[in-house]
Amino acid sequence: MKHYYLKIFCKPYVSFILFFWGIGTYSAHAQLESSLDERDSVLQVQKLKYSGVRFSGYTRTWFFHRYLQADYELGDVGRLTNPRNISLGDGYDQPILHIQMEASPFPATKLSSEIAFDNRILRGGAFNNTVDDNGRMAAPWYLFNFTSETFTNFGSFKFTAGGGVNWFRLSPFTMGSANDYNTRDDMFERLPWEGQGNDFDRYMAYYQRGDTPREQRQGTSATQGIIVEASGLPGGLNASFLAGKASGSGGFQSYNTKKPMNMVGGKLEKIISSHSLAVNYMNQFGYEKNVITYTPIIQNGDTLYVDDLRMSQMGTTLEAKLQLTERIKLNTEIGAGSYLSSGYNEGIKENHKAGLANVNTYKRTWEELLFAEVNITDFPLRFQAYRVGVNYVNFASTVQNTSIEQSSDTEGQNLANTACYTGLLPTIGQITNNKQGITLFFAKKVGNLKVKAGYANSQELVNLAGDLRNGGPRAQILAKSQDSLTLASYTNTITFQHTLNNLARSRFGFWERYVGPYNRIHNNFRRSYEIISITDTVVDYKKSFVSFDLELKYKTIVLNRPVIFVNYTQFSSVHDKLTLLPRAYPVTILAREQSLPDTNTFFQLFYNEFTVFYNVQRRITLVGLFGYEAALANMRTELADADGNLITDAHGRIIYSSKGKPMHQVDFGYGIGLDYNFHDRASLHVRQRWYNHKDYNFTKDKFVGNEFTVELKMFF
Amino acid sequence: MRKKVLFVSMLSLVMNVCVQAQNTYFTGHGRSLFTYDDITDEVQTDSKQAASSGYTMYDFGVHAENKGLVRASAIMRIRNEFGGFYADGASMDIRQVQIEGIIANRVKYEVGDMYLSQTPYTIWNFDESFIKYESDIFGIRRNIVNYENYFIDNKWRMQGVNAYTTLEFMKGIKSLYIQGYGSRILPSDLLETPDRFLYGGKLGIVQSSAFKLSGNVVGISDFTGTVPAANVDFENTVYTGDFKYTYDKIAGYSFALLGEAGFSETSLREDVSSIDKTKQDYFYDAGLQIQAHKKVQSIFTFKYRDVGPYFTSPAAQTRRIIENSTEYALEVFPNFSDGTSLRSMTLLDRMSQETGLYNGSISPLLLPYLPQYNSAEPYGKATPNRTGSTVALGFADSARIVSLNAEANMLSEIFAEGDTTTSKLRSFTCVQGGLTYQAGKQFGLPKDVTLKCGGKLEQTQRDGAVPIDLQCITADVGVSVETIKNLHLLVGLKYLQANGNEALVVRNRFNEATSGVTKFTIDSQEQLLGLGFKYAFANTVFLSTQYILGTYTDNTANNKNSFDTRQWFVNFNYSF
Repeated sequence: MKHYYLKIFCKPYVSFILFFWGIGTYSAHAQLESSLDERDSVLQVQKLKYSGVRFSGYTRTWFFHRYLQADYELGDVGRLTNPRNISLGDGYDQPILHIQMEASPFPATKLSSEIAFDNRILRGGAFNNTVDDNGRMAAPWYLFNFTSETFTNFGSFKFTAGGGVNWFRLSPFTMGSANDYNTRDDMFERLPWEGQGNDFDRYMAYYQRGDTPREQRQGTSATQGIIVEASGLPGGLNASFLAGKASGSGGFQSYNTKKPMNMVGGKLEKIISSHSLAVNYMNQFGYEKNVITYTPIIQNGDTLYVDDLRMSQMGTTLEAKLQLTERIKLNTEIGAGSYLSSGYNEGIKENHKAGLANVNTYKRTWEELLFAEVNITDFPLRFQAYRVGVNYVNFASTVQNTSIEQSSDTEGQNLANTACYTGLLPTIGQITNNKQGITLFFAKKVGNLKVKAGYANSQELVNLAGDLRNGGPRAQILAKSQDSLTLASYTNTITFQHTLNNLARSRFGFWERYVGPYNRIHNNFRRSYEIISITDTVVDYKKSFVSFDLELKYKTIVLNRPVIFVNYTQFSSVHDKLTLLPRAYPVTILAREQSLPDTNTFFQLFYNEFTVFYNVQRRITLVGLFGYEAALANMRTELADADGNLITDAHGRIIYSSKGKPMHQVDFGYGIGLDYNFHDRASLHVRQRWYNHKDYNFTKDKFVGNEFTVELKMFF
Repeated sequence: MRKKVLFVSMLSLVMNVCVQAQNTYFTGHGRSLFTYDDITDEVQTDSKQAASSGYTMYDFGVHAENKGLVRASAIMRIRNEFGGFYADGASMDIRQVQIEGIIANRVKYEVGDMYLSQTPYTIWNFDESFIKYESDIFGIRRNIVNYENYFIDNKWRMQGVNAYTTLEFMKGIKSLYIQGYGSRILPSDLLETPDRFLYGGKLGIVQSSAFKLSGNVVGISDFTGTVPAANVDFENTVYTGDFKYTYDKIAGYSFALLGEAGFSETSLREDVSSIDKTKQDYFYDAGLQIQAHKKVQSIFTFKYRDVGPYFTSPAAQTRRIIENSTEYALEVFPNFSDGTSLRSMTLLDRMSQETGLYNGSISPLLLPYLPQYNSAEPYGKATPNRTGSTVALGFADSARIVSLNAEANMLSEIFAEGDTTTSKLRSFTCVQGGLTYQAGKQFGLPKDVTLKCGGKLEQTQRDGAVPIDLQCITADVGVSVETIKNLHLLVGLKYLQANGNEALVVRNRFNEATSGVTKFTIDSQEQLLGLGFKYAFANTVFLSTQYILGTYTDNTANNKNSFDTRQWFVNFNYSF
């Protein structure tokens, strides 16, 4: 073998080179190679030798063990419903090591990047394209962009380009976040983005301010592309412009197909004294497919071609923040929005022409967008009112879509379309399309007792029963035939959110809709919903939704150490007419198998949560939780037979039966835990949560289990 | 998995060296790039195609340097696809790992990724672009392509070892340059394909400022012992010498004789194609250069070359662009809207497609080419089977307001390839040139106004049994106007017209022309019109937005290969 390796040295030219090498070495009088190349070998630019890169971040090891005594049947393998699950990470791609890197080698410019490392000990998460076979991952994380600022006589301009994710906000109706409303998490559960510091301080902040700690980026929308922010423009104007993609512009995996779906938006703002006026615009538009075929339509003997596959989510609004008096402030946003697709339009635009040279487009259906909020200083009440038209869909906005299922794909509905919540029972403060409503917030401190309450009352603008553009996916699973009568039985629905054990539920199956023992479960990011159908054959009403919640927080001293008690109660119900107060029948849990007696109340949800945070030592906090949730429906909703099966007819239509019994779910959740802040920047968190879920009538819907988690988090 | 392990290992290595190092610093090159494309074609007229794509990426270099003696560098690539949110479509890779150092203040070495070039006949990554005077608006795109494919000047990126030193002498000669390098250009499959190495060196003597002489040698060898039973054994060695003698005793003028000559020896044993042959051939390329250094600088060059049909120098003849339609993959709209008909490659593809179109490795085979882009020198200066003269003229005024270059090549074949009946030779005429005009400077404007234009006329002809007549015209015109400070408006136009026929040579695995040809007929026009701007925040931090309209017209009878493209392009570049 040596022969082959060494034959190069037998070549005459090699000897030649070696000879001169030797001559050179011994006879040279000076050398020129006294320094390393100062030009970058790839960029061919002078090396800056920049050493000012700043690193920060955290490590978060989150061990998870779950034991389910009763398996929750979601209908497919691969979901986390087996009796035992052991993993690092909660399935929502939270890294084990997170490094944030920033560099500003030039004035007024910055590179920002997050790099995430993960090790899932062989268990894949919801997204696993960057994960190797052994569960290890290294990838850029959310923040990944470049910024530059320039200052001119016309104003200051800030440019941001990249993604990752560029978090941005225009206004609630145009670009914000569907999580803008006060989505509530119990403080027992550890959130991945919780910051450094003593944990009892976090609980104290919750006691003082009342909000669950959130990431700074929540309330904004995820975008990619370029953002230009201008301030100090002539006339005292500020402006922003962005173009690229929002996460709803074709979905968060649209790079696979290069789906031509993009967005463009902007804001022009004028500040006058303590008031501000702004015009906002947002449009997500494009196509779900790369090949766009124009549809021929014969009209009056002419062949018209229509740009049939084009979709658009557009909103344009006027926003005003007015200081009406010294104490009264009015925030309002009014405008119009539309969702345009082949299924949602007002026909071909006027002045249409025949032939391929004149491709025609559809006319938009404009919907109203109205919101107003009144804040009164030193007064415990805050008042909101809103109205959003039936066909306004904008995934980048705060408006939750409750009316158009086919908004992500004109070709059909699919299980992965988790962005629609038909007939949603909104939480307090949440804005949805196809609704008008009011919301009241109340806050008052009485000694060490802090009281917060909320009230929301809304009604849908149109009952979408019989709108066959909705309901298809569940019908496809449950019904043998897809005739219009069958489909119609899936279109008058109520969607409600499980408040208790919602994170545990969402992990049973990630980002799915119409799963579970009755194909009613709808899971998305750290939330779990359920959808039920109303079986009315005559629908001459609009559903109305009422909610009331009350949070009581009390701080005291026990054995010379501070303790905080929190009790949170929520009543919500859905009716066939406007109703002032929510129906509340917590007593029905004592009467098993009983349905809601009120024939006008389709559904009620009762939730109570009691948590304790006891700082037994400066660095140690004990936490406890007890929660109870009851979800009950009346006989006008979908029913189960004596064996717990969903009652349908031979076609698969969901129907009424006098022998049937409606949903009657009861959930318990209780847990204990410990926070140990062994360093200012490092802490250990242990949680044990037990949960129990059953439905007295839909008897297949049950699970019993517990979760044990250990979290070790360190910041650097 | 190997990548990840390598990544962690190299990161650890660099971090370890960092700890010991006197100096640790960072470099980086990043960009956010987004495009929106659409295309309409004649195949299916009731439709169009559209695509939205892009990415954000950063090449983050960590460099640890110890007292100027050794520098360890690793460049990590962080990338997120446009349309991939929440770390979906995100990736991390290693772009480059390199150790550089100096031994005893005398010999500089580099290990790992390295960039090599030598002479146009030994190691030379020749630029396939048919126009040297490309407008700025298109240059932004081409710079990205070059960066992504590691094209730096005429260097090939390789992995191996390179060492060199320059020694100065007190008498006799002024200095001696010695270089040696080695690289593995094809890894073994551990079964039948052996490791293939490229190695060589250079010995350069600078006798004085008047006379320089170098000897170059480049070899490629299959190390057949690296597999149990090698089914291929390729050996190639190229020996050349180059010189330049300058006479500058006349004030304001200098005269130079310059050239390069050498020969190659190549053997191939390949069981699959039943080849076991050896061949040798030679080349020479020499001429005269006259320079005038008056108020204006002008340069005139005349050279004559003869490159034998069997002269083989893979590191100088390998094409950087892949033009064989079975080997490249167009990224955007590879098919027409019927989903099956293949679309032709366009000027926009060549200028903007970052992957799948360019070749990063040395090929012993002469790769197929498209004659409309380059017919006279498809394999660079070292194109085998060419003889003829080159005349070049350059001009630049002292203020660099105008600079102009023109070159004419009058070449012909030495051996009639593809015409075994009448053995008629092809003739090639290629005239190309361009100018840069700094109008802002000329008129004393405070802002930069620059015009660039260039073009090429190429004609290939042959009589005989397989007649050939192909004409190609290419042109590029661009204007860059600085409006407010650092904001340049950019306009550019590219044009290509090709008409005629060729009989493309079919070669065997030993690069020998067979009796067969692939008949090629073309009658097409293509144009690109680009409008955009570039705003520079700093020298290497800029934002550019462009809108590019493209038209490809195929006039061949019964052909539906015509189409129109439109592209929005946004690029934020950030380097330090």
